[in-house]
Amino acid sequence: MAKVSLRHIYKVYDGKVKAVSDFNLEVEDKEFIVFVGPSGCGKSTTLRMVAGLEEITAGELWIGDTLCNHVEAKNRNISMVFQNYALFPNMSVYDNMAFGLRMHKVPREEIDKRVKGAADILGITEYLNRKPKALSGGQRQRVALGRAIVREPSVFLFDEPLSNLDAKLRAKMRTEITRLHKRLQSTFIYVTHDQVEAMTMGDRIVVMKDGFIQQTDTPQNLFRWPANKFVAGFIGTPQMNFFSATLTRRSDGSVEARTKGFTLVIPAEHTYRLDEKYLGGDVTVTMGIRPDDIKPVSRAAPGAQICASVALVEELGTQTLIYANTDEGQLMNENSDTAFCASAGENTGITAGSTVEFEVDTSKLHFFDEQTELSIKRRIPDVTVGAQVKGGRVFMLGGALALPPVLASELGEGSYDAEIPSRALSFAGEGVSGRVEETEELGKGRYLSRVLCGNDRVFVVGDSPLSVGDKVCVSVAFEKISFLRGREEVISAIPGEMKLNGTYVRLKEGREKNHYIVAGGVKIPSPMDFNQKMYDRGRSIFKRKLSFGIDPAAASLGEEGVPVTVDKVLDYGSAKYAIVSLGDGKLCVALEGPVPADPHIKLNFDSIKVYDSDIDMRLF
Amino acid sequence: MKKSEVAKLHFPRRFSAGTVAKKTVVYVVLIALCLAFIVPYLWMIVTSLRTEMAYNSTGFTLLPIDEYGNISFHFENYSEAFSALDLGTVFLNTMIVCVVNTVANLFLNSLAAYAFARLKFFGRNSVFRVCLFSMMVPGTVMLVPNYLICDFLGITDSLTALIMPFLMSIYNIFLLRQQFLGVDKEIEEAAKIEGAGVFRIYFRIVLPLVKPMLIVLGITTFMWNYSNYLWPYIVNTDPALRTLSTSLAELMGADYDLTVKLAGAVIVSAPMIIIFFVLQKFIIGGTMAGAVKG
Repeated sequence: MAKVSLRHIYKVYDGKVKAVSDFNLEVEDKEFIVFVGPSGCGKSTTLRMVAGLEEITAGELWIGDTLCNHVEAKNRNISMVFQNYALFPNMSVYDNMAFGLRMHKVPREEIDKRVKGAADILGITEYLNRKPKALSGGQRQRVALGRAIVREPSVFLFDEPLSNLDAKLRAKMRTEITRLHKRLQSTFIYVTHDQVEAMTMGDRIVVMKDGFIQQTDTPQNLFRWPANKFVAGFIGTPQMNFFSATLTRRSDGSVEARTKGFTLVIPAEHTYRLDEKYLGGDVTVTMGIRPDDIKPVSRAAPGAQICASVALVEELGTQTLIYANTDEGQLMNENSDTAFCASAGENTGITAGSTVEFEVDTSKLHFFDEQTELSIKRRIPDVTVGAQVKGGRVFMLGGALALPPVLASELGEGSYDAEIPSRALSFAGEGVSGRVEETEELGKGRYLSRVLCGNDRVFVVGDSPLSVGDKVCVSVAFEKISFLRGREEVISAIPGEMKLNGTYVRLKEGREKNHYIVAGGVKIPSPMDFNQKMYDRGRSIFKRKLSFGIDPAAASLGEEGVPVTVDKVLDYGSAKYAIVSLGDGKLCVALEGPVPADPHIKLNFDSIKVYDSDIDMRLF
Repeated sequence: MKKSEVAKLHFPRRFSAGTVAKKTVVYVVLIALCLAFIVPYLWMIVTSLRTEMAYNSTGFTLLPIDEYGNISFHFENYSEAFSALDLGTVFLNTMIVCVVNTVANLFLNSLAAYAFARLKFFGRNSVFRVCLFSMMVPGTVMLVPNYLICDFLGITDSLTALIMPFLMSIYNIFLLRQQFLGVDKEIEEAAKIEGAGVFRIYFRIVLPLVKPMLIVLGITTFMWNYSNYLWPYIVNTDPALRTLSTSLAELMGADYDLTVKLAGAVIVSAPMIIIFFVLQKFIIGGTMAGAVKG
């Protein structure tokens, strides 16, 4: 049994076609994880990289405690079930299942025991002497499963194993694989393009598109909190309905969502997670409503009603799908911005051509930025609150907080908007007081609380459960928040990582060959370990345009190293940072003491991230 | 049922007049082609069983008749041909050359074909293109260079000279490569994950899957070596190293009755005919399998 870690994995074909980009995933031991996405999204390629059938272009693959990038497939202790079963046609079922064990020189008695045991589990004992061609599709798939389980591997890989089966058999095998996972207690990685398979089988699902992970979460969370429009549309059957809408915050706190065909009013308690930037009524967003959240009713509640003409009714037994349009002239145009699908129970009595009133569950609406398609109603939202600076203190979140020296000097007295990401808030240390309004478990011992601080609501992640009504103290990490006046950023949060463009060179100096990174136009000698990592990328590393990602902790100022100019010191009280110029590039460096008289920068090469700028790929 | 009613009964017409006409033409052409191939061979067998006098006194016939028109078989032509061909030595030489060449040829060529189909190595496609280009060069052109190489290696006048130059066959490599490309890659990948190395995958998994093609190429290679005349004639002058084809050629040029010569031809061609009939299932199936990938 093993954990599988995929860290910044890339797959690039012919040096230019990116099939998988920056794939990051920690698969826990005994977890059933499903990769899902449309054809060509890179899910099978990723699985094949885990299997050792595809070379990894960049990144690290860990299985257990072993870095497996260059470990042969046979030595990774994995088994794989293929889409086309990939049984050996010239061998009997028994020999197919025993093949791997024979390769690993397992004693004959043990092979016999394991093969017969697996055959018993899968109900294929009577077919052991048959050749694969004498078996049906379902039986072949069972043999393929049997071949995988006899090896008792630490990780099972499944590449769309059910896609060649008919619908009935697929549903049966789906249950069998889920049972098998519970029985074997192994790590399963399963690839499918069928979202129903993904939702029913996986502990967690990785949704992919165009080689990128769109979202990784549990089936329920993907359904309730899709990170973007793609995930929202991909997960859930029938697909989510999308409408162009404008959102306006009303005086009573509720939000009015106005579309071309109808207007909805979202009660205030369901709007706290919405990004305030989009609530001015001047930005068009995409509103998503799942068909299950639109029901035909005789009289809908005000602010939740849609009147529409029915174009088509599909009776599915216990469920009825109603395709309707608020614009009668566009009735047969299912792609129009006014068309939608609603779901109802059986025997609705609704017929095509009739006009029906629908009620929308306004607590379950989804909203997305029209350009980026990212959700603007996130589960753990960042918030923007009003802040008043006066006398070296900032009045926000219903309290007064002492400003750190840098903010006290940079922010003049007056009103600002403070952009506070959720990671800037915690229950540790001093801060503003608030009252818990809502709390939910995030998993892995983390809890999310909605806290009312003054008139503002913030979302804070803590590691202990709280109860509604609890009084708490919310502390603010000022280095992680930005202050804006109007739309202009007055002071920004300390960046996590700054990039310097450059190259990697090898120079002959006297009798020696020395290696340097040339960043911001300055030559910085690189140590042996770093050079080896660069050499691992092949000879072309010297010809490529690179960029070096350096976070504040990866550099320090002292008397030794490369000379730099200190542009500004940012004193946040508990932590100090310096913005330095290195050649024509800028870096942010964490300060551990006073700024030296003749400042030099020393880079921690173990923490430097190297990117290939030509194809926008992280090398390590 | 009345007799007049029975007279009206008819079976449904399965073919239209046009279809019947078309089928008739096709069958006539096919029968003509069959006769064109079979009749000369049949004539050869029949004539090899007659006397020279009987042959000269009658015109073309497919019956083993003597000069008086009676049926009679003269097997003495065969015993004379046996000794004229020096069949014992010649047959042994031929079998050594054919069997060694066929086995080695299939082994080496399938290895090369698998490498071209599946292994990734520098210059793979370029090397394969060069190999394909060499197929364009007529075999006769290669006679002199091959002879000079054999002479340089000191292997002329030996059976080695009949084997070594033909160990590799680009044609066989090409056909086997196409077959290997048609094998589902997932099967090999499954074997790889199960712990098999390249050679084990090749021998245990892939080679059994292309068995029909191997049999076809084995037969064609065997037949080619069996009937190869020009090269053995050029490279070997020692009578003890003669093969069936060179021995038969000598018989044809010698002062023997035509019926004896034809008996020799029947003896030489018989093994090939037998092999064809025994393995025709593979020959036809294998040829078809090679025609379409997958």
